Amino acid sequence: MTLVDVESLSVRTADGSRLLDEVSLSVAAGETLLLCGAPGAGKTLLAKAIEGVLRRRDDLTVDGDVRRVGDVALVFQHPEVQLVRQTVEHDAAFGLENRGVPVAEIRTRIDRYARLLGVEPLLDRDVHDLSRGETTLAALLGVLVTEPDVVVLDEPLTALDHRNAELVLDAIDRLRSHGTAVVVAEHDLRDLLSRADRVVVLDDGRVRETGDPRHLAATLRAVGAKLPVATELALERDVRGGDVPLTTDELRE
Amino acid sequence: MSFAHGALDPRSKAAFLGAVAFAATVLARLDVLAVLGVVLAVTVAAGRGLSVRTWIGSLAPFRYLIPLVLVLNTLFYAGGETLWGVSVAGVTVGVTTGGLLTSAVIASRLLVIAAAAAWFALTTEPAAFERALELVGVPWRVAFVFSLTLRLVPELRARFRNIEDAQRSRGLRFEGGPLARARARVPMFVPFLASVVQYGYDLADALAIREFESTARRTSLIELEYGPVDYGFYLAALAVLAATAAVALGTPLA
Amino acid sequence: MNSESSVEIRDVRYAYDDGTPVLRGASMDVADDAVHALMGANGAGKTTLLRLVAGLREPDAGTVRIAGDDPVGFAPENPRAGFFAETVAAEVAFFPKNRGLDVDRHVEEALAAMDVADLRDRAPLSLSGGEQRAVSLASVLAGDPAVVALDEPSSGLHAPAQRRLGELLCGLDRTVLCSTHDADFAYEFADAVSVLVDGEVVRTGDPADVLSDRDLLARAGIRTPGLVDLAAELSLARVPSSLDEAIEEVAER
Repeated sequence: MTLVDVESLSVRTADGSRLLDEVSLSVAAGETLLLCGAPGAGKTLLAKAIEGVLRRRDDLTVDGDVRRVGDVALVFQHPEVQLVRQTVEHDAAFGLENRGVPVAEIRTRIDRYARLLGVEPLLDRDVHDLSRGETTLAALLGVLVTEPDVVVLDEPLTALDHRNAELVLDAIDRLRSHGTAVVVAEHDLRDLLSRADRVVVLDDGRVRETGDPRHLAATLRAVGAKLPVATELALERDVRGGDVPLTTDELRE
Repeated sequence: MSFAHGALDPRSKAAFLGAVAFAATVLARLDVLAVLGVVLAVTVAAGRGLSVRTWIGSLAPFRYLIPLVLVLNTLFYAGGETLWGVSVAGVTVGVTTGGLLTSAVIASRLLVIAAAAAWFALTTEPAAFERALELVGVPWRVAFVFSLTLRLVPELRARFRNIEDAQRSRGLRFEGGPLARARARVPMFVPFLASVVQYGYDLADALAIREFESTARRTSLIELEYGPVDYGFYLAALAVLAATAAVALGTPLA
Repeated sequence: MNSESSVEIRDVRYAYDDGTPVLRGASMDVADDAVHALMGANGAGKTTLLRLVAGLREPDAGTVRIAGDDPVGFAPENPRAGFFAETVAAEVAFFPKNRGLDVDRHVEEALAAMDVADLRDRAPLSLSGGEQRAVSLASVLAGDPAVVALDEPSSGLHAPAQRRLGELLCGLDRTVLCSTHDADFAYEFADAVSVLVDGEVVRTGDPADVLSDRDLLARAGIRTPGLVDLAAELSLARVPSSLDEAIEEVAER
C-alpha cells in the first residue's frame, strides 16, 4: 500500500532557481527508503515536502502534488530545535497534548514507545544535557508517540560521533521491525545502504534514478554519496548489478 | 517538617513571592527588609532541592549593581546630618546620614525582591510554570511562549559566543575606547541576526510539525495539585500581607 | 619547546563556566607542517582544545605554546558563524585586513587555493553548505597563519569534496590541527592522530597504528576506518593505506 505519493513536485525560489525539479516518488508501507545525493541536491527540501511543512514557506513556489494516506512525521537535521519542553517526557507529550489526547493515553504511549526505542532512562533528563544522538532519540520519541505511518529523518547522522550514530541506527532498526515506513535523507551511506529497501538518487534537484541499492551503487558514487568500503571496492573492480556487496561480510562471500 | 521546593505548586510560590515583593516595596524600613531576608533564607534552608549557597550564588550579578546603587543614592538623597559635603553649582552634594539610610533601604529592597524571584525561578520547572499560568487564566499559547522564552536565552547566548569566537579568531579586537569597541561589535551582529532569524524559522517549522496550531481542546500531562505545604505558603503569604498592613498603619505591633 | 613542534600542549585543564570539567590534563605535540587529526567522542574535549590552541580561551591549568607569534587561524564547525560581509571577497578580506597584510594578494591566493574564486561576488549566506565551508576556510587561510585549527572541516561535505579538502590540507605549507569524526578521512589524509577520551589525550601517533587499535577505538567511541575493517574481514596481511592498494591486495588473491 502506498502511503505517500509525490507527483511532479517542483520548488522554485523567488528569483526563479529550481531547488526541486519534477520530482516523483512513492513511499510504500513498511519500507525503508533512502533519499541520497550530494549536500545541496535537495534532500532536506524533499524530506520537508513529504512531511508537509513545506507548504508554509511563502518565499518558495511549490508546484505538483503530494498525496498522503496516513500520517507522516519528520525529525529535523538539528533536532534540538524540535524539542520544546525542558524534560524529555514533557516534550514527548507536547504533540499529543495539542491534539487533545487523554492524559492516560499519553502516558501509555510514552511508555510503549520509550520501551521500543530503549530510552526509558532518558525520560527525566533535561533536554539540554543530552548528547547529540540522545537528542535525536528524544525528537524521535516525540514523533513516534503520535503513531505516524511514515517517519522521515533528515540527515540524522550529521555531526554524530560513532557511539551516537549507533544509537540512531539502532533506533532505525527498531522502527523497521515495528513496521513503520522509514525515509532517510543522507549522503553518508556507509551504514545505511544495507538497511535500505529502495534508493532515490537526487542530483541537483532532480531524481536521477530510483531502485534497488545494489543496482544504483554506481550512480550513488557518481553523485558523491559516501559508500561502504566494500561497495567502493567492488565498483572499482567493475562489479555491477545484483552482485554489488553492501557490507564487508558480503564482500567476503 | 521538610518539603521539596520543586514539588510546590508554582501558584502558591508565586503568592508568597508576590507578598514578599509587595512588603519590600511598600515598607521602606531596613529592619523590615532584614526580617524579610531572614524569612526567605529560612524558607530556602528549610526545603530540599535548593541550597542556600546556590541561591545566594545566583545573585552574583548584583555585586556590580549594588555598590553603584549605594553610591549614587547616597550622594543624591539628602537628610539628617551632613558627614561630608561639597557645593556644586549652588547645590550641596555629599554624604548625609539620611542619604546613607535611604540608599541602604533601596539596595536592600532590590536584593530582597531579587532573592525572592531567584528562589521562584530556581525551583520552578518551565512546564509547571506554563501549567500554573494556564490554570490562573492565562491563554495557553501565551503561557507556552513564556516557558519557551526561558530556553531561548541560553541558546542565543551560545550562538553569540560561537560567532564571537569566529570573529576574534580572525583578528577582531575589542580594545580601544567605547566607540572603537562598539564598531568592533558590528561584524558580529549580522551573523547573529541571521542566526536568530534562522532559529525563528526553524522553531516555527518545528512547532507546526508538532501541531502547535491544532484547534482541538488541549489536554495536559502536567498535573498540578496542591499539597499541604502549598496551603502553608498561601497562609505565609497572607501573614506577610497582614504584617505589612500592620506596620504600614503604624499599629502597636510595629 | 621542541624545535619540531608547532604546537605544544602540556597538562591542560579546562572547565566550562558552570564548572563541568572538560579537559583533564591533556598533553600533545603537533609537528611543524603536519596535518594532525584530533579524534574522540562528542564531549571529549576536541572543540575546547582547538579553541585553546587558537587563543580563544585560556586554560585553567597547564600550558599551550605556539611556535612563533602569529595568531592561529580558527574555522568553526558551523561556517556560517563567521559570515557577516555582503560578498565572499569582503568576507575573506577580513582576516588579512585585521592583520595589516596585503589584502588583495592574500584574498586572491586564498580564493584560488579553495577553488572559489568564481564565487567572489556572491553573498556568503546564499551559498550551498559545501561552498560555505570552502569560503570559511579561505577566510582563515587569507590571514596567512602558520597554524590553523579547524573544527570538523569535512563535516557535511560529499565524498569528492572531502577528498579535495584532504588533498588541499596535505598540500598546505602550514600546520593543520583539525578535529574530525571521520576515521576514513583521518586515516587517509592525516600525518598524525591524537585520540581524546574524557578530556585526556590517551594516544598520539601514526594514523595506521592508532586507527587499527580496535580496543582504543571502541573505548574512544571512534568508528573503525573502512579499510581497517576490510583488512580484518578479508584477513589481509597488512592494512592497505588506500582503496587502490586494497584493490591490488584483493586482486592478488
